[in-house]
Amino acid sequence: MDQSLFWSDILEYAYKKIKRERALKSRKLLVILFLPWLSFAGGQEIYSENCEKCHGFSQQGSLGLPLYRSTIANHSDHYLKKTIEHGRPGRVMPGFKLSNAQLTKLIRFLRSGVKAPQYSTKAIVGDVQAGKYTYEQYCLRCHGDKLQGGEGTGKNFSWQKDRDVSPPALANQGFLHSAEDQMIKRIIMKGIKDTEMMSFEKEFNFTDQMANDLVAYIRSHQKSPTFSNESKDVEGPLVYVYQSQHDLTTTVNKLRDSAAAYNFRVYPSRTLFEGFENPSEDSKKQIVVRFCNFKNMQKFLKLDPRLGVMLPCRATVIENDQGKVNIYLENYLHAVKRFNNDQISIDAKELIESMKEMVEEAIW
Amino acid sequence: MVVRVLALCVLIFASTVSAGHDELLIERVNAKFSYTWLALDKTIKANGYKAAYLQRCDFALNERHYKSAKYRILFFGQYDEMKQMTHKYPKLAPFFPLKVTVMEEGVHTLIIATPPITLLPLVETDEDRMLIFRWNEDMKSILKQVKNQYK
Repeated sequence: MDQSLFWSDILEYAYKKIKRERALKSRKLLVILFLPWLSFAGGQEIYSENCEKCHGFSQQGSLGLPLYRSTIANHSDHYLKKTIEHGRPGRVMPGFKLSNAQLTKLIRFLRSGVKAPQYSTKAIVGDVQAGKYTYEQYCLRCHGDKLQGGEGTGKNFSWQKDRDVSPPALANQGFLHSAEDQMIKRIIMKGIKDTEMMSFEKEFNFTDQMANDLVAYIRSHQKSPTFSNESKDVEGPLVYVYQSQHDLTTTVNKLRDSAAAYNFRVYPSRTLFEGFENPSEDSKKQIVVRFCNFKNMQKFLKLDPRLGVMLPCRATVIENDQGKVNIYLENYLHAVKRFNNDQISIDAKELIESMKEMVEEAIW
Repeated sequence: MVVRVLALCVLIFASTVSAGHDELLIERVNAKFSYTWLALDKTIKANGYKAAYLQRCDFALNERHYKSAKYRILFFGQYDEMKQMTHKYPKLAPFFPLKVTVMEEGVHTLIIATPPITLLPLVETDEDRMLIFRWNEDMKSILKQVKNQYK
């Protein structure tokens, strides 16, 4: 046998093997490099379409809470799915109707490769009274005396407040119908990295029993075994109409005086379509009386900066073809329903009641 | 007539499914306030609407611990259509002109509007309902177009 042929065969074989292994390795590398892209495909689009406006381009939080990877790492897929589905009634976050496949893609995108924790669905048994005591000692300061959470929207962007992020509402039915007892316990004991939620095990030497009692107390706020988000009917019509006893000019003047008397700052009145047309006789019969109470405005904007869509407060005065003068007031209760914020609904009711009184006084 | 009713049904279905009933229309724009404001103004014109005037809400906010000084409302619409509708349905007057709220949030800007679809209970004919649907679709499209300019 030719010795040189033997060695050249071996070399050729070795060369081919190395080449094959390299090709395999680079294929593996390609798969590894593109795996995140493959698994997130679709999720980013769903996020961009539905979540980005409130949670931000890079999940940094805004009207909605930040969706940091370190936060998501504590949440099970079940919790995230139910949270998206139910939302948080009365707390800005609406419920979304997404298909199971869309939810899976979205959650995969939010996780960005972080492994989903698994929690047992077994209920935790604890002493509710003892949990209440622990809650009042350690949690009330952030989560509120009624477990109602912090005021306002998710992340505090525009207001100088004590906290950067609004603490979650633990008594919210959306939360209670999404969170597993074991998840709540874990968060109490270990805290959430990069947030104000500290590890109570580490910082305050919480025992297992203390955490169990606390979970039992939080769980005691769940109203029913199944989630239902019945939207409450809004009281009153979409627009209130008042007939004035006076002519147009007197009505406008009386409205302005009345608004000032009700602590509104009154702006110069406009014709309804000012900026569109040259003032004609017709347009002089459609006047918008504009006013604002800054304290009220501040209160509303603190609760939700989007409230600007209702600004400024106004009463529209129109003289019709028969010479009758009517005043039209928007019922803000319908508009505020879209903000999914119970506190705003309460405040808006007060506002619209005072506006109605103001108009009634002007036409009386 | 049948076609019109069918078209109306399709529009109602499309609007309720895509917008999620009558939720606020919001878009986050990857640009500072001034760029967004310009883009919004241009887009409104490009879509056949006219900007009437703006309302500044920011002058008092800074004094009241509001970090951003950029908070404005732009009033706009199509004059002839709004005039005609107000004449027919005076109860629509408190909602005219249509408006978009523009607020700065750090390096981004939020543009927010109430969906015109909420005015549907105030009108009576299919033709007028179609007009409101068109406003609604235009409003959504304007906000999307502004957002897409700074993707």
